[in-house]
Amino acid sequence: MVVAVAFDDDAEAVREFADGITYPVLIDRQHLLSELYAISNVPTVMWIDAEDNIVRPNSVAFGVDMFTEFHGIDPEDHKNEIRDWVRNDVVGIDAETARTAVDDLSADEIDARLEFRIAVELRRSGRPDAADVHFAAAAELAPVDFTIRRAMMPLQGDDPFGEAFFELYGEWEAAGAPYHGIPAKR
Amino acid sequence: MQLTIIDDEARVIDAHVDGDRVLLDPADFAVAAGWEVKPEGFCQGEVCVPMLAPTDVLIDGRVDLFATMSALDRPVLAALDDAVIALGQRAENRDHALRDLRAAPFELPDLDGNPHRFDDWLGKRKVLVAFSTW
Repeated sequence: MVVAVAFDDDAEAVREFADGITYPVLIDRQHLLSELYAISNVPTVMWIDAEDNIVRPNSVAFGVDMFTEFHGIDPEDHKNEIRDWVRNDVVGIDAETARTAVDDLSADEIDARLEFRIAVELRRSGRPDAADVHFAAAAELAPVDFTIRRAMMPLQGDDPFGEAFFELYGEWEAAGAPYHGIPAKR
Repeated sequence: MQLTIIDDEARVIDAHVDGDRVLLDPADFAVAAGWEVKPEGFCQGEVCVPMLAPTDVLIDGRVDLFATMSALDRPVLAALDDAVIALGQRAENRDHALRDLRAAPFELPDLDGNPHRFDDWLGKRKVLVAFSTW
């Protein structure tokens, strides 16, 4: 089964994406999973077997092809790999590689997640100016983490598909394109 | 003072702020952080973490929030000027996922607000997809 978890604040915005989908689509306003599994960008996919072992840890994989032109990743590859796992038990990664594939969060990256959570709560309780202070602190602690920097764009009135995003993307590339997990095959 | 404590969700509780300490009644602590104070230690359901030095975490019957979070190996970030405190996850849970490759359970709502628990899907292969609209 598929379980989709949205790092979003507004359930109605997510609903457009979830239209017609029959598997669980959950909303994670606190980005709990970004802390529990050291997730630093979306989409991040992991495969978990029936005994709750992670057989394939955090990986960049796209389920839809709307951004293929931009990132050059073919979603069919991932769908075929899932079929191969379900039918033939092929996971394509050995356990030793899986165990070292995801770097732990640094202390700053953890604090950034907590600052982000505080900002989200302040915004929700009608204190946007106080929220901005904590969004800024989060951004300073984790400057190229998309679950912080890009996630805060719509919450601060910035376009997450506009200039601010392309600036962030440039900063991320300049920093060596860091990702907590297995990067995309291109 | 009233504090908002953010754990899996944000909850407003009464707290006693004493210098650098934030002290909570055990019942409020249980609501805010999900751990009950029992004779055997801090308990979450069946799981208990013993209090090695109760005098460090209990002050006049109140729970010292920062000392307790530290004892439970949970990060905490306080914005006391804004009356908000965020609690992080036990580092051990993430370590189990990253190094032991054991899934870390969670509970999250769907878009209609109905809770879903990771344990509901036991015995099934899962493709967990973290995504966003941004």
